[in-house]
Amino acid sequence: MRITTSLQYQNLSANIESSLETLNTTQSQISSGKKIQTFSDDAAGASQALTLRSALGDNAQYQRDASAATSFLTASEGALSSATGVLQSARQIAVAGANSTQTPDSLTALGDQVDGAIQQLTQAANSQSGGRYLFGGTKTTTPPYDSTQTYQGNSGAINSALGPNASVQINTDGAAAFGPAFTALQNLKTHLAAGDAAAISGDIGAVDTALSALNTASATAGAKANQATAATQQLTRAQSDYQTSLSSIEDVDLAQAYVQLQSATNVYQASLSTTAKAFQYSLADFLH
Amino acid sequence: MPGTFFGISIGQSGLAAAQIGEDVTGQNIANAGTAGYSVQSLDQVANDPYTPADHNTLLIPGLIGSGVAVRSIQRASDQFLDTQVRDANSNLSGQTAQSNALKQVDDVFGEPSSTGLNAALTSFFSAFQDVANSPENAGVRAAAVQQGVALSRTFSTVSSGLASVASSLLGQTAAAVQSINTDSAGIAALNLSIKAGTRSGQSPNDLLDQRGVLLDKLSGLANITVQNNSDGTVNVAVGSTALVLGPDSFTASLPGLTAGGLSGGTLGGLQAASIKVAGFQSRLSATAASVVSQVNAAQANGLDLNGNAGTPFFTATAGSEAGTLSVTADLQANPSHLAAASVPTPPATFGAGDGSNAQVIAGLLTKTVTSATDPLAGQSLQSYYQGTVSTAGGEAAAALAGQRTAQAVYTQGSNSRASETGVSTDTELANMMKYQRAYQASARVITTADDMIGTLINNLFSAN
Repeated sequence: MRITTSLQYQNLSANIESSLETLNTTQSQISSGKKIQTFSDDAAGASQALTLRSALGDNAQYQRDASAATSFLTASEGALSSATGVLQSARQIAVAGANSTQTPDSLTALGDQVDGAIQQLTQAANSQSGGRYLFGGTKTTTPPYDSTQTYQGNSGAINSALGPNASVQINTDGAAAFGPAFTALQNLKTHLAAGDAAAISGDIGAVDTALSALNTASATAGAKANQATAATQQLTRAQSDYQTSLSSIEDVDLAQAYVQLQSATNVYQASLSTTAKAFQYSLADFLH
Repeated sequence: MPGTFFGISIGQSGLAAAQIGEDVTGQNIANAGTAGYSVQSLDQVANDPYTPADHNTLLIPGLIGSGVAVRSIQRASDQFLDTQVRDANSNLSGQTAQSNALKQVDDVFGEPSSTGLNAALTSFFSAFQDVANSPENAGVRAAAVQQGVALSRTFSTVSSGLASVASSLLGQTAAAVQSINTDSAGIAALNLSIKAGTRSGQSPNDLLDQRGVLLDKLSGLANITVQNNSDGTVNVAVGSTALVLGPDSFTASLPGLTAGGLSGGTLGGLQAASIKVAGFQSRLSATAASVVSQVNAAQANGLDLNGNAGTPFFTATAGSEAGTLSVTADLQANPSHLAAASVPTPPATFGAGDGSNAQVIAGLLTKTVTSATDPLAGQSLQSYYQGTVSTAGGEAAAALAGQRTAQAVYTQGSNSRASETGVSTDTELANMMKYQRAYQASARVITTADDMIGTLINNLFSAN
């Protein structure tokens, strides 16, 4: 090939340009820490990265959902187990009231204790978590039980997503959990006031039935709270998996990038110094 | 038998040829860096013998030529290499224009990032999940409305980014058409001068080089075909649209060029890129339109915090949804109007704690659109948008790869041509010595011939 001045110039400048481009790419990768900055850098990788970023966003949301569900369920379980305690002491009152040795005075005292139990139970049934009433169905802004222990709520379900396609009902039906207990205690109070020992004996059975309803509700809420906690752990693990994958797709391997940078710098220097030397001599230098 | 002064006349022709050779060498060295300059050389021939061969064979021992003559000054050119370089240049310029535009589209989308539309969509629908978790909370509702405002702002940013890419393409297109017409007129004018020069029997080398530069430039603007005419002029056309016919040029328009078969060059690349950018603009608007219709339909299906039917969440001008998307004034003023609850049966059992409709809205991002009239049919908002960005990125990457290949082909052709027609200063310096020595030697021939004649004139008399 005949080497002409313009050919030499074209080639040298094209080579300087391409080695400078490589250097610039490597430098911007290192300074940004990302090997994919836009889709055109690596369309397949970027597409994966985009999906992973969406998955990470969803994951963060599911973690918030799970944590909201956990606190709602833990609060429900706490309120239900304290209600169980109240009902157990009411059962002892009923057992004592059924005893034939009671005087009218002591029966009145027992009746007052039952009144106290009803108040405590109302308090438990009107428990809140994060400003929401736990046991009123979807009527979370008004107390489920009023001063006459009439249920104000509805039977609406509140669901929470603990993951993709994993929806769980987090609220406990207040009427089913607390209704039997209130009825049993109201009856006990009436029978104590009337001194009807036989009816009081009958109330013990009703209290037992109410107790088992509360226990069931409490256990269910507890089990669901554990589910939500487990979901949180799974989501946290998945999050770190996603982050690892995303980093391996998007992030620069610094060690490798520094080696590339060094090599690109060397090539660039070499092409510059070659260019400087290429036009150093010509035949004119040797003609006299 | 040649005359007495024959030797002097031979020497003189040698001096003249060497002089012209030195001048051509000087011209070559002076233009070593001139764009489009083709190296020139002497077409030098030995002159015919003084006497016709057949008449004098008995009188002279042989035929002696009568010196040297420069027949013409030739220009190194290769029409096939020119065609190859120009085709490669059309392709390269077209790919470059496309690649630049698509790279800009890719930058406008700016994915993957934590500030792009993908992130804004995720945050917006995620906010509805928060509403589902505590629908009675005014702060959470207000946050969801604000995410809607942020989403519409992101849509508008991306949309105006694409619009500015499109309008810049439009401006570049107009400039390219303008350049095509200017260059065509220039080529026609040069054709006229070249025709006159050729008619006088000379090769108008420098005019041919200038025309070559214009043809190279034109080949970068459009996929031209060049046809050489016998009178030295060229015809230039883009497909079937003529730009130059000998000394005449025609004003081209974009529709005319497109109809004629425009496919390459900057203009062809800009045209192709414009079509693609318009495609991305309509996909972006379809995404925004689907957000509006799906969220508003879900709102209408639910009940707000007060138990009333939901009102539209988003509003947008039909046809330009991406640029005009905004949250309705009603929702911005009253986040309580966000329809987080589903309609219960019976409706009277409504409770503020019901977030099931908000949950439905939160799920819209990944829900497959079933409506056949929606451009998103069969896809979810997320997969449609991600598909759009992937396509944009894939096309930008493909255009860049195409540009690199075209660059390699062009470089190869351009190098061949530079090797063929360029100036090598070392060769020219060697030629310079050659002509210098030839000049010196011819001068010596004249002085020697002069000495010989002197001998004849002076010594003949002194001998007597």
